[in-house]
Amino acid sequence: MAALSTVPTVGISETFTRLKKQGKVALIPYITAGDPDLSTTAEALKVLDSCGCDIIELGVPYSDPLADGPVIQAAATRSLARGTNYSAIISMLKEVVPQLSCPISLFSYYNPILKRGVGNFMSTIKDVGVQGLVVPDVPLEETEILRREAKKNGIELVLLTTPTTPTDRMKAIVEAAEGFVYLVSSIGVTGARASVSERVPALLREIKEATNKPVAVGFGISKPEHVKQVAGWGADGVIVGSAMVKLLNEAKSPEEGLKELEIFTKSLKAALD
Amino acid sequence: MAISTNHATSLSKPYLSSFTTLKVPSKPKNFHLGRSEFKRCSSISCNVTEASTPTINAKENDFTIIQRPNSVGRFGKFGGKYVPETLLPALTELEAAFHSLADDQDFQKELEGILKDYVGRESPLYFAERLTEHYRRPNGEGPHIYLKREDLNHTGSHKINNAIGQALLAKRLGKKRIIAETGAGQHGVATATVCARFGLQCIVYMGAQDMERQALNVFRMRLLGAEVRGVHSGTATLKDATSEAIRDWVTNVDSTHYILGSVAGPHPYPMMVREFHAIIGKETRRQALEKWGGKPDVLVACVGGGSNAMGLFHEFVGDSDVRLIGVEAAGHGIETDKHAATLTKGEVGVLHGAMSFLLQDDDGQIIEPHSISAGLDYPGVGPEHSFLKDIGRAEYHSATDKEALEAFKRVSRLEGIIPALETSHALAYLEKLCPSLPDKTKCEDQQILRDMHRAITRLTLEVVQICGDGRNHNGLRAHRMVAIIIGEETKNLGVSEVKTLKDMVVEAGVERFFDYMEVPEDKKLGQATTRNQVPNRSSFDLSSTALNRGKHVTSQPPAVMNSSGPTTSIIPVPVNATRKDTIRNPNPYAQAGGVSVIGVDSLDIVQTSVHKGE
Repeated sequence: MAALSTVPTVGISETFTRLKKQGKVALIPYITAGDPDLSTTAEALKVLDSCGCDIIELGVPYSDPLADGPVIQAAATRSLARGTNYSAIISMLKEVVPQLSCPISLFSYYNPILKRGVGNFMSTIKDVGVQGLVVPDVPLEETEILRREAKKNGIELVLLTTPTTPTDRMKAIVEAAEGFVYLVSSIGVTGARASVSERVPALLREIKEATNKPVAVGFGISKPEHVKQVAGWGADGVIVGSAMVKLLNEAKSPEEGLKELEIFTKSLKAALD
Repeated sequence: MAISTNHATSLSKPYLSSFTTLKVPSKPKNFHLGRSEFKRCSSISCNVTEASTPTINAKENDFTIIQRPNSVGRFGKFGGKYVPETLLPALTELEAAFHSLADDQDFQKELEGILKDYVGRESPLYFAERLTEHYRRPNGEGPHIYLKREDLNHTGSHKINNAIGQALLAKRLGKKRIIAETGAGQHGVATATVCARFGLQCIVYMGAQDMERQALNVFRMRLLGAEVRGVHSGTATLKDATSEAIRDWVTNVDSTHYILGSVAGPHPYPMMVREFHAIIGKETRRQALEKWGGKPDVLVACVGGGSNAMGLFHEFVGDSDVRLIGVEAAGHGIETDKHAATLTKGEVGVLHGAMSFLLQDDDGQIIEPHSISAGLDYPGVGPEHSFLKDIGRAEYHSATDKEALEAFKRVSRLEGIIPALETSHALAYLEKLCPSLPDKTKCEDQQILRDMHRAITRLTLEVVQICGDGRNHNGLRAHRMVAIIIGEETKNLGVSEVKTLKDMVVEAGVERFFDYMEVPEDKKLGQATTRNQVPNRSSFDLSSTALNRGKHVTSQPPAVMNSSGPTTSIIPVPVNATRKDTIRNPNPYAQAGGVSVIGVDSLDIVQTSVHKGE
């Protein structure tokens, strides 16, 4: 398997540094592992990588995803119903990550991490080449163990700040965040929205005043014009999730889904050039 | 409810009485949120931290100085705030507002007045004489069993205590939109009630499956002006309704207060809900003092999320001579995969904002629980219960669906009180607790009950046999089978089988299928396939039996039957009903057509405290 020894994967903050030098904004797609099945997920990761995505967020399906809107909830339910489990995801990553040039960040709720043991989880995902982690149901107060174990294993723990987060609290969050700061664009759960919240420019300015760390905006961004708009507001990265998940789900076949994913991703990428 | 055990009975009298003198307040405690309560919470530092597993010795008095929760919302390692960042400011605001109530005399006065005149508190501490007699030993000794009658509250359960408190809190926070989750519908009804009372917009999330099997409560909530939103995601039950309520809150946090219905969820909910229910225990202490000049020896309560249990226990956690027993739902049995015994069989994890015991698989995915009672059918449990279990202050046991049904029937017949199926689990535990008393001989009443017991078992096996369905030989299936037989299978039954069925039903007092019989053909669910198969009532010759008219149907006195209005108000048991459909809503006539009846659905929680025998 000569393909396994390709490009050594770079870290997440490293990626942002490189992009910044090039004057570029990171495109960060999200897909749910195992929807419609893990082999399609493996192919989707390769497609996203080849389309020039800069970081890929891979969702670990969970039975009770309370930060997710209907599209990603349903994807998780379908994935679990098909029998997707942690070890199968890890096996898939072990095979696929070496074939990718962009870093992978996992998006997982806390209980599956806790069940494995936080340290064990971190070392396992590190071993298969994962670079970052987002845990949407663990706010700053409860991150101590996650941060300690992430650091120990060289995993960059991304923290989220939201429109409801008071300034002092936001400062503490960006201080502790690694990889990048995840700005939740609007009050609510994940899912496509008609337009991006008008509060984003002000929130971005506020965060930028507090830190030099890269800031990526997510939740509700689903179209090339959204991506362009957010990049124009000064974000370092743009995260698109539900729109990708929806494409894969609504396609008539996995092959068709991958094709549509490619077309859609290229349109997003073009909006950033 | 609980009973004195070997341990309790072996304590010497002087020891007990010295405690009584020392610990029982000489005058009734005020039942509202006392200032001292909060001072204790905020002034005592706690050395039980997140990282350290509590190693507290279960010594006397320790519990009174452990801060529960600590300043970061932890009960030992349990609790916390595991929610999306968007909600954190709202939780902080809520906590501050809640603490400020302790000094808010207007709030205290308003709450006190509403609890008295609207809710109807205090609720009686009722001496269950015949139940006590039932467990009395031949030498006349035995535990005295008391029932704390939370079922007599407005809306029929303890849930209103918390709903009132939180609605008042929401008003103070300036939030006019209220959301809630509900399983069986009791908390939803309580929330809809207080929202009507205070003029607040109310949205209740309920699993689509629960909406179907608890149609009556959906009707009540809508009548009270609430919008009931069905949740179809996941397993479409309480767990998913809770997740959906949290998602709503994440989305509308600026305008909305979430009235969470149990001592679960992120801090400050477990503490806040406990405090609003603590009145249960405070009244119990005062009433015990009045009735026998002492304290209860054992407190028993059912535990789903655990709000009624926490409300009862909280007052007594510091009294190390009071035994605290929580009873969980063992469903088909804790050795099967169909139960809701979270504390007995679960593992530590995070669900709906808190670290606690929960039912999960090896991957940390939440497992769907099972219980005959919707209120206990939850895969998590309040973090403080996990803590009390961990430090050994409270014990947690379980009762199966079948045991709960037996207790349900037993207490109905012995006391004329039809308990909730939730409460029936606690009542069922009396059976195990009583034999642990020194003298194991049972009173004569027991024999009659044993006969009934056998009848139920036989009914189950034979009905299952008749249906040719050997999937599940237990008492629950029997109810379903009876319903299905009447709806679909009877034309295939021979004369002797019908007679057997009739005999079994009469003997066991199973009344379910008569509801179905009463439903006009065109109102029956699944009519397309069953219309022609539903037997003529006269072919059974049961419609005019005493059974059908209430003799054996304890949950449905004739007056209720007669006054329930036109038959269109009757809710049919769907032919394709699951086991729970037929049992969870055993009295579809209650309150239909505007008749106010105490039925199982309106009787949520009865707790019993047991006073040691003379």
